Amino acid sequence: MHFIIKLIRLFKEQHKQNRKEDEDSRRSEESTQGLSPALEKNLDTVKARFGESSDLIIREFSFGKDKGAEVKAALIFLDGMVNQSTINDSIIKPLMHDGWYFHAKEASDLSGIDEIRDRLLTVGEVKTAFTYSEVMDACLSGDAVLMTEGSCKALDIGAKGWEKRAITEPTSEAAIRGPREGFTENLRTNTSMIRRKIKDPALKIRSAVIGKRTHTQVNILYIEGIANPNLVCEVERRLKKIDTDAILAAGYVEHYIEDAPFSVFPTLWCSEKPDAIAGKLLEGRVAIAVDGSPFVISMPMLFVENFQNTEDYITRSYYATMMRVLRLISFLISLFTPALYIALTTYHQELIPTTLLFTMAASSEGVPFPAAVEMSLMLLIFEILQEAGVRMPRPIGQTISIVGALVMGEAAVQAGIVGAPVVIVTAITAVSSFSIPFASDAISLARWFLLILAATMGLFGITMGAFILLIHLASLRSFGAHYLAPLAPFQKAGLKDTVVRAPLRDMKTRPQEIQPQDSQRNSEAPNGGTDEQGGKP
Amino acid sequence: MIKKAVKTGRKLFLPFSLSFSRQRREKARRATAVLLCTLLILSLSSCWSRRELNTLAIVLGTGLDVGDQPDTLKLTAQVVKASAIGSGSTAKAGGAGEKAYVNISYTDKSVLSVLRGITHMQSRRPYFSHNEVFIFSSDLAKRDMAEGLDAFARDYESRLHADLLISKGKASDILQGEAALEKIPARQIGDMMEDQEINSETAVVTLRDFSIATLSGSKAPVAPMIEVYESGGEKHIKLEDTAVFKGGKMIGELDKSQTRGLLWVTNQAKSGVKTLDTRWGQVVLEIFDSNSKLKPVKNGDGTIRMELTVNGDGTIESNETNEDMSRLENVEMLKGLMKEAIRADIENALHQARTLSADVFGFGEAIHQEYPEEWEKMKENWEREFPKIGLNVQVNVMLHSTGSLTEPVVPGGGQ
Amino acid sequence: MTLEKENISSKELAFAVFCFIHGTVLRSGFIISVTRNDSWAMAFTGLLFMLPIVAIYAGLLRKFPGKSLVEIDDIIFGPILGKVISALYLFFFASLAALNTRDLGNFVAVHMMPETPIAAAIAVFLLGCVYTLRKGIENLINLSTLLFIISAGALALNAILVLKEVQPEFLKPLFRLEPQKYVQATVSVTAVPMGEVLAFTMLTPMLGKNGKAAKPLLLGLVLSSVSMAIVLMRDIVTLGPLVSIVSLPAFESIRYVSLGDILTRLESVYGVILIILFLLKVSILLYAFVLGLTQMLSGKRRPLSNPGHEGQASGTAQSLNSKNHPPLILISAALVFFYSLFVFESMMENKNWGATTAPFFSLTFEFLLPAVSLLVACLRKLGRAREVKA
Repeated sequence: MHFIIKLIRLFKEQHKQNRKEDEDSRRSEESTQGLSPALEKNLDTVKARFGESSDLIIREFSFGKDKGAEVKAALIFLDGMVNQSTINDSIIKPLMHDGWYFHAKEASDLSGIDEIRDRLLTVGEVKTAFTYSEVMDACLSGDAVLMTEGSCKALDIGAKGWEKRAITEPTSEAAIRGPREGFTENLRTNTSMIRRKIKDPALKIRSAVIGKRTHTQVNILYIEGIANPNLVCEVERRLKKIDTDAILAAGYVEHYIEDAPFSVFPTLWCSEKPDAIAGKLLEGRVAIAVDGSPFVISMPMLFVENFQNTEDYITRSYYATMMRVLRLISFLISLFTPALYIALTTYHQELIPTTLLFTMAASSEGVPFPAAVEMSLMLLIFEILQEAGVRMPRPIGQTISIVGALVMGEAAVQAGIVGAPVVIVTAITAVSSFSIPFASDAISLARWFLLILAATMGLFGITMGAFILLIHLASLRSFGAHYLAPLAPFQKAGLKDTVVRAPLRDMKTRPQEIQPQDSQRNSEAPNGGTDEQGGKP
Repeated sequence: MIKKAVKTGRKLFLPFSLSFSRQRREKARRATAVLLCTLLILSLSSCWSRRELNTLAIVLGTGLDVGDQPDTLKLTAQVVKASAIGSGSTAKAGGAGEKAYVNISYTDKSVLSVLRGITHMQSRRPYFSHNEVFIFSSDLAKRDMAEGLDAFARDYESRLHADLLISKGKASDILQGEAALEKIPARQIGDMMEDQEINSETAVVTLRDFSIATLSGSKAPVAPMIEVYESGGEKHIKLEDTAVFKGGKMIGELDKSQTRGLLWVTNQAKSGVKTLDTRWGQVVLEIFDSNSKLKPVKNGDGTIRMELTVNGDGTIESNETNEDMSRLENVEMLKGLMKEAIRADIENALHQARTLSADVFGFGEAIHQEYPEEWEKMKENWEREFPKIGLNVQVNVMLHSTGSLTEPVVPGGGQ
Repeated sequence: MTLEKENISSKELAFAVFCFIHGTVLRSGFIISVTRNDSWAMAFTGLLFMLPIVAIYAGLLRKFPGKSLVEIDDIIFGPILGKVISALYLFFFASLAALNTRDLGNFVAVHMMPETPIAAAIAVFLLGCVYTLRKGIENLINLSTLLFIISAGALALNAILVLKEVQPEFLKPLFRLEPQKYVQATVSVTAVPMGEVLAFTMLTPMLGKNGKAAKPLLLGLVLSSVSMAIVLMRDIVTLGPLVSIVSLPAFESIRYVSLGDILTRLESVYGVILIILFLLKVSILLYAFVLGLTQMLSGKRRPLSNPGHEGQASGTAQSLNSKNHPPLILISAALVFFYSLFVFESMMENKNWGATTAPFFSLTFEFLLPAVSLLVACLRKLGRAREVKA
């Protein structure tokens, strides 16, 4: 029986292997096919490859000196992706008006197209394309491709211009005192925003194209001289290993390159604000910007980053410290309160102060469900409300929140379906999970885990659950950095920016865990320019 | 059996998992097995300790009496009715007539069998973790304290913090007394015990103190006594006197002034009020802080006497005479009177202790700690040695102020 | 990827030693029943008695740097006898793991959840330990600094809160018992809490090739003897004569704290910390067992590689290979599970064992065997010669 299953498995795998090989060879053949000198043939091939798309526009025209010896040319672009004024004014107009001195004979040899590029096109970005796949890529990226009769080369003219969203305040991260720009979906806009924050030539941008069908542009940003070269190499290596056909958002990239895809806690940070990413770059991290996504990922990520906010560095030191501590407390509240409530009321009633016990006992009189079921029910309803609140259309928004608050809370307690303390606990849990927006999904899941353990084993269960979570966090590595640094491998210097936010004057070194090359921020006693000083173990 | 489970698991998983790699499948299978085992462990065996809040009978006060039949105990547990006391939208308005508690009684051979026996009559199991007072009836105390004490100290639910009281009559009567300001009598007793510091006329004894005193071979444990009295047709409770124990049984009592003396000696008198009779009338002094040190000292001939130093700080609380008490010679007089009063109380207590031959003050422990060799000699005959031990008392009283008034409100005094 | 560090620092080792011992300190009823109100001094005399044992461990480790205990006695005694000695050590580790698990199970079953069968609590506990080992023991050691801060903070907090209830006279009379009781208590202290640091000799390879193991061990031992003294003193002055009849003095003395009606019921904190410390302890013991087993069975001293994770390079010494170890970890955990269930019939037997047999049992493995090993190593002139300090 086993043997038969194994045999079947083997056959299926072999079959899949063969198919993949065929497709790969076809693809590679296609991609290296070169352009032919005959313009008609080129155009036909392009039309065939694009499959009669209605947004493919081929503008055929001719220019040149003599009436009979004109140069035939064609401009290929996709409607909606190009900037019409560039096409009209900067490509077609110069060719038609100023290209009068071209002879057909001249334009047909290979230097002709170079002349066009060098002398006629008043466009900023011009590249040369040799193969059909380059032509297609160029069109799909929003460029216009110029082909002339008799030339095996084509010009890939940068004319990108599509409708973009304006730079607005990011919706997921609110700012009180800091800058309010947020990233948009356009890759170049995003990198330009970061460039404007860090006007250092050492800020390097390397690009890659991922996704077999989406051909998404991805940029890796880092500051040379601060970021560890091994880290940059590792990031590039992982990006190149991505083998999929669709990269639609930054999150896709995140899941392919992260260290622990099955952990509830994220190991890569993403942000919508350029100042946050600039800060991370200056600490020695590497950022990845994905075209089409307003979120930029940064790595490596440490757990303490959940509690850090760019606003902390703008407000005063004591207040920022208090806010950090508050976030830590709300993290703990959000994680442990439902489980603690259940453990205390069902297993360890001796731990509740006497008067409170009476109130709780009074409110659980007449409630049909056991406490664990009550709590799970309320948590479930809260999650549903949250999800519904995000997805619903604006007009009915108000109604839902009224329904949620009044019906679920008040009326359920009045009707005796749930007890009042349970509603209060759920409310506290919900509100505190919003203090740390980035980790709130992880907390939601971990909360359920702790709830189950608490419902079955009381305080012992919670302790076991907390310990397992702690070990899990301690064992996570984000691109080699210990996730719980500077707490787990204890680093005294790193504590200046975790629970406490030391005054900016005292934060002189970069986080040790990321092992930057240059770990001094200011100019005192530089730690060594190019050697890999990691920091003491 | 595990093999079979794995096989069926494999059959279910096969179509789903063909897209995963081989190693992943192995990992997933192993993880599933472990997860299944964990869930089984958690759900099958661990929910036994679960107690929902509405299945608890929260006991706030316990009373132990001698049962009607020989060799039996009667236990009265005062259980709180949560619905009548809780505030919240589900609490039914506890109207004028509804009591917030219920007294449950049961008689059986031992404490634990009584506790289980209660479930013959009630729907909820008694829960002792919030028990604040233990009331033993004096009959039971005279017979034997050990059983009740042991049952409650050993059980993990009880807390050693609970107060111990001896009732002059039946313990169950005490628990039925009218609770004037609190909703539950046991609560009232518990809160009363916490406030006894103010009058320094009651010994506040917790289960822990009583156990420590019992464990010592020489010290005689004490416990405050409580009784029920009728007033205006209703039953009220009052703390009065102290019970003295020896060998695990109650052997005698200390009255009010003897209790005061006891508290002075054992450094438990914190604040109190003393009415002094001067030749002009009554003056009331309030002591708001005091401490005392008891030390054994060797006499010249090898015997031991105890040195007691009492320091008290007080103010003049009320001057019922026409004389101005803030004059220094009057202050000295008041101090003298106070010292005399304290000394009288201590002598009174010492006399009673000697009569009962019960070392309520802890002389033996003090000697054991300071002069261990002498203690070894005296240990055997402590019953006879104790009355021979002399006590030197030195009282220092400081009067700090006369309160807000310097001179009394005397008719015609303003002129 | 050189950002990966598989080593641990010596400070973390010291704190791990502290947390390791502190768990047993919190359950130190067995010492108090012997020496009563002088028990606090036993912490220091126990430390003194422990010093020669630490010297033996240090000597062994200095002669064979970067190697674990099992490997060392493989070298010293030759292949066959070495395996026998290693098996003895492994038996000791397994016994310790079972005893400690049973201890924790008793605590949970008696004080936290009385109706739950002890097997369920122990099973969940061991599953937690297995998870810790699967993820790698270096994570646990990394956490030890944090755990040290938490448990030291809880210790200080409890000590301060109890101050209201203390009666210092309970400490007197000083040193009035027979000397043999003091000797018995000292030996108990050395053998049971402190001597168990033998397990750390299996962990020292993680310090790296040039790591010194003696200093952190010593530091951890000193810290934990101070904490033991504090705990014992606190219990004695709070509970007085009750302290010798109560089964868990530390628990009871914390239970008594009640500060202003808010800070009451702090025994929950005690319970939580106890569970976590015991998790650390049993995980380390289990790791020592599994590692020793692997090294004994594999025979060659080659480093084992990390579980294959994309992007993580293989670490150096002593990480557990994913191919061989998960079954081994689970099997050893199952072994300890059953062992802990049948090792004692009741808590009274446990107490009896602790009072009479435990010191001899422990000292054989903690003192006798390593001393013999060191002696043989010196005689056969094995290992690195002792460096002369410049």
